[in-house]
Amino acid sequence: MTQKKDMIAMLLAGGQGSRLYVLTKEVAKPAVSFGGKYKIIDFPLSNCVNSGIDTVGVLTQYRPLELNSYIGNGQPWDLDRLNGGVYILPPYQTDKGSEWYKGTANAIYQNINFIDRYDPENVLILSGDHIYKMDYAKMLAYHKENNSDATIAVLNVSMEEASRFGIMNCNEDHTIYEFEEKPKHPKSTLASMGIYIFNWKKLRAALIADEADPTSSNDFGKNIIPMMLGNGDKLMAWEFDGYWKDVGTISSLWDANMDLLNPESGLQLDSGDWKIYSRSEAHPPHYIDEHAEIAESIVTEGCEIDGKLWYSVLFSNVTVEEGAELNSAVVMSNTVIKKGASVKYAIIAEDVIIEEGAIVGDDPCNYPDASEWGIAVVGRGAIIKKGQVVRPKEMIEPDANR
Amino acid sequence: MISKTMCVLFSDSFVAVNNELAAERTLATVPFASRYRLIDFVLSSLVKSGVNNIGILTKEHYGSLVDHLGAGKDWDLDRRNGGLKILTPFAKADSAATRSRSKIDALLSCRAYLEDCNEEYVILSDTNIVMNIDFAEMVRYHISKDADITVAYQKRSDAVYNGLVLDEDRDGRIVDAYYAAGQMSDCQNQGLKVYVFNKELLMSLLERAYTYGWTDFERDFITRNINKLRVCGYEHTGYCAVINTVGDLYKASMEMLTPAIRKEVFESQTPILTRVKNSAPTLYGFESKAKNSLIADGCVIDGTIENCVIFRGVRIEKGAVLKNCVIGQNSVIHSDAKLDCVITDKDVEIQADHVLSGYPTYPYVISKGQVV
Repeated sequence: MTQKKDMIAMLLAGGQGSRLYVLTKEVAKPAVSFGGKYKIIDFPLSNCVNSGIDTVGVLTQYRPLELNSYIGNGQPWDLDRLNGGVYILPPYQTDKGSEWYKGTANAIYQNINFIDRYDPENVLILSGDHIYKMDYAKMLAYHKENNSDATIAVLNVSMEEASRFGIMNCNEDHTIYEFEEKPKHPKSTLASMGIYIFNWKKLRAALIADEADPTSSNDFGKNIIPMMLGNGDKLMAWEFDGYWKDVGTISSLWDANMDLLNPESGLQLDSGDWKIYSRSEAHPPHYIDEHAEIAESIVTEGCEIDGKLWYSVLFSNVTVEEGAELNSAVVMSNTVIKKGASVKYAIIAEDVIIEEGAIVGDDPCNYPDASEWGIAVVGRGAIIKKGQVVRPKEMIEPDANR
Repeated sequence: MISKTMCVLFSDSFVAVNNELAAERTLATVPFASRYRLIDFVLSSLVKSGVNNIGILTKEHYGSLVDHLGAGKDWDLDRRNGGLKILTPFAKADSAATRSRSKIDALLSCRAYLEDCNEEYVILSDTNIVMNIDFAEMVRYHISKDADITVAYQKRSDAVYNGLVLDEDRDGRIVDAYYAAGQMSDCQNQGLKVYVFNKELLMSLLERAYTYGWTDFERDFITRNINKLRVCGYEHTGYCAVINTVGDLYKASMEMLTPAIRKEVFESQTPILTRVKNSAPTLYGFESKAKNSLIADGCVIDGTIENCVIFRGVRIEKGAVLKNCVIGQNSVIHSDAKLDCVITDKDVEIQADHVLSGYPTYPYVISKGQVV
């Protein structure tokens, strides 16, 4: 018999993240590497554990292999529990047929049975593509204090940015009276962060009603929230003021990595009171050789550095040979950058080989026309041959041989 | 054959003399190479070789050992069958103090554990050895030689050595085994305190030991029986450092900076497993300079380091210059401090502008938690 839970979390991790292009060709967005030794999903998972949530359902759909094997039994996040823990929830077949998850709301609808097992008072809905540290327990306390049917975490953004987000229009007491998806003329600057706490009974009823509506696109923002507002339910906005970044695009993913190097960005990995956990193998310490020069960079286990690094983020087991130069580069695990190669303003995925003298990406200063410049990306397992050039904005497919 | 092999490890030297390294922890848990403890090397080699039933004999203040090993998860030793077992001293209030326990006493105290296991062979090994050895091959050698006991050794000429010197005949059988006191210059076969025993034989030797009051493992188990039993030598030709003193620790730490040695120890067939701690990656500041150094995760480096081994969570502030140093976990070196040939334990703090210097053969050692 499972024990009743105060709140469980459901983590939406099924998205492809198509705007990450070659980085999500083979893995789902939440499984994309970040910050030297993490994957994006480590942030919501660690937030859950640090907030005292011990039951998390992870909804997968797109390319789940890497995500499944990464999460495993949940041990790195202390989520291997007797009662609760982490569960991978893919779409499944029933006697009535089988369906993919049609939208975020439908994904939760298809797992009503899972949530019912824990008979929770509230359900926390999270997405697997944001970098932030948040205490969901504080949000839950606010939710309970206000006797709210749904509480939505919001971020105060600038007026210019507001039209890129789902905007919550609120009364003075933070009750929400209207939700607008990407409004042209925003009335408020409180942007939804895609983090919701719902009273489970209310959400359960709303999901069933939504499923019965064939015209619905089964989405939380587009359908569930407006429906609940229409029903007269009490929806509250809870304002978050820490670091938060949607890393859904190449440039935002690169930015978020660079934010780690800036002490003023508000994103700090090493603060002892809110650790981010990850599954990591035990690699030897990193080694800095005779010719290395390193400034404003992050280096992690297993790396061997003999080249020059400026403003770069290196993942485990990266080799940078003598004379190679990295500037504002994000280089993922097991990649080798050979003698004299240059990698600037670029994201290099795992297991890549950049051969001698190859050039990947360039400094934006050399491009007076900003539209010609962008982050260069090399997909997993690709080889950039001796002396080859990968221009800014260019994307090299996984396993390409160039 | 390896499936029929179990292992008992000694977490300490089990000699009466206090060891300078093991004042606050077991020899097995002396920190080494930025993120490891000494026991990780032998333990990882055992796991890779397929030995899954491992008991660890403890003597005193083994809290750090229990803390480090936990249930053995990080070594894949949290098993329903076999796995890792910490064998704690079993002493009644009026019995002799645990301090005087010898290896033989320790083994006698775990006789019931040994009897309960069905394995045919037992590996007995110290844990203060930095090496990457293939135990499966050693057990195969033991069986192929039809040996009763196999002793691992290395040809070395260490100036100070406190183990057995082994004389071998052409067939690989040990014909003499003796303690060689004093300084040695010649290359000799020095035993590594790593053995393979037929388990039945070990049990009967333990009964004799109890009967006759034997106390010295090397003298009484090996030398005393050299003519009655078939004792064979197994040469380990790879890198090996036995850590008994601060000098040994410093020398081996500096050897880890040599690419060939590091590759052999860390990148050969056996990955060295250790407790995973989830530190953030290391951050290098604008004015940092690093050269020929090993650095763990979780550090913030703003100063200069050269020929150093830096553990987790160390902070080196602007203008600090460290050469030939080993800096323990969570230590802080404040701005403009100058350190040369210094070893610090965990949680040490060196105040700004301080200058400390040791000598390569006699490093300056700062113990746990000190503020200089």
